[in-house]
Amino acid sequence: MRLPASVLGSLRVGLSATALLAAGCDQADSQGVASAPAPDSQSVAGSVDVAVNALALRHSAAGSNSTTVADQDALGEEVEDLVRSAAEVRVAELSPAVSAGAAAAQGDPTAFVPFADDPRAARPIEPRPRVRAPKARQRAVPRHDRHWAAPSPASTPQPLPKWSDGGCPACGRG
Amino acid sequence: MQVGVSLMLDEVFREAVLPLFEAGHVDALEYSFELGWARQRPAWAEGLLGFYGAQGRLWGHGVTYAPSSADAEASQRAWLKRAAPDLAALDLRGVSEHVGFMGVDDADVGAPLPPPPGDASIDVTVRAMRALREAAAVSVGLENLGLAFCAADAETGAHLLHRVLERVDGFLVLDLHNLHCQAVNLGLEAPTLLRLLPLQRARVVHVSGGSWSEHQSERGLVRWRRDTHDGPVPAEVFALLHAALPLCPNLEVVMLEQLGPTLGEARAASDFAADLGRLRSICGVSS
Repeated sequence: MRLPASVLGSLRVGLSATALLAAGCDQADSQGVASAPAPDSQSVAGSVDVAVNALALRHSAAGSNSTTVADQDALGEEVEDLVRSAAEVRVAELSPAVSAGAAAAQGDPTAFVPFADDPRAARPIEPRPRVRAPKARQRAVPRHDRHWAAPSPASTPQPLPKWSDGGCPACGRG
Repeated sequence: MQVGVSLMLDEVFREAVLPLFEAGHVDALEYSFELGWARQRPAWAEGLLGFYGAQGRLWGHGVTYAPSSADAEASQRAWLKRAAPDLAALDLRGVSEHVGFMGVDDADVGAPLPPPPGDASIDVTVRAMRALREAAAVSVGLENLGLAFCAADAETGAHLLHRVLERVDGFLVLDLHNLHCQAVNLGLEAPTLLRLLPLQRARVVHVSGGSWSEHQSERGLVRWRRDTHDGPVPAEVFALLHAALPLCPNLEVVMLEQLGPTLGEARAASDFAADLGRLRSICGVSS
């Protein structure tokens, strides 16, 4: 699926607003920055958002609120111009952040997605008090629990073939 | 048939997948809500989400909703509240989660675990999925887990998926690497496990790589396959895809998953592109 120029242009931008300013780009000016959502100070991508959002705000202010492909292409071309001009500038502040993030992630191969808030805010796991359970009377299995494996008419799950002697290798069941 | 990728928000991922988007090789996108909770979404990601959503090719996916957690209504309501802005703003074709529980009292076990067998687990999961469906206002789905405590759990998990998806009229997210993990870890045949699942409800297939962990047990050194999304797709998973395609009449998209930070090396990015190309070839999608 081909992407429109504006989406591709935004995808190609991967530089900090600081680098763009250093390259003489006036798009990340104070008005644009103030109007854009406040980025995470430690997020390089967040500072990139500021520059690109500033571009979008400028287009909106100019009255081009249309969502025509031509308008989107114009925005995409401006974004690509920013990329070309900033490509000549060293983005020293970009590399450490990215490297640190990659290194941190590579140090923990079990990490899946960073969906947690600040881990320091997580509640500690309290050890549960050991309580001696009373002896349970032998009861017949409740009727509603007896047929959990009954297949529904709409689907016919096939049972696994029984393994030979010894039951399940892992737990001994079966 | 479409072939897509699971969107990550980091710079390493952006640089690795940029050539694939430029070549027009990404037909669909899947987005995990929790990614945007830990950090601000970059503008390029917003652009992708908006575009694919407008094209009807954006799927939402959760990790921590934990629909099979018992007595977890409060944490699930909190999850829905947090996901509400995305559920409202993104044009999602469907929203899925992993079957499994994550909370025991106030403890978070860290990953979805297979729920115990019984009608109670089915009822708990159905209640949570109905709440998700009401909040999302789109069809909801469940993904099969890679972890099973024993071979009987594989049958239990498949049965739960059948029953829950029937009651919520949901879809299956068929994760083939999870299936592969269950097969190799439990010594079972992957094609047999595949046929246990409600394949007629499969609308999304997940394909990914993973890793091995080793530990000592009384039986000696044990290797355990894990769904860590940090490597190329194994040949066995491609073989499972070949086997699954004819059995899934309602399949819409195959999603390639890999964590962004693991694509930093040129070789890793190249492998990812090659895997996407192979998926497109298997699925008969023209390049």
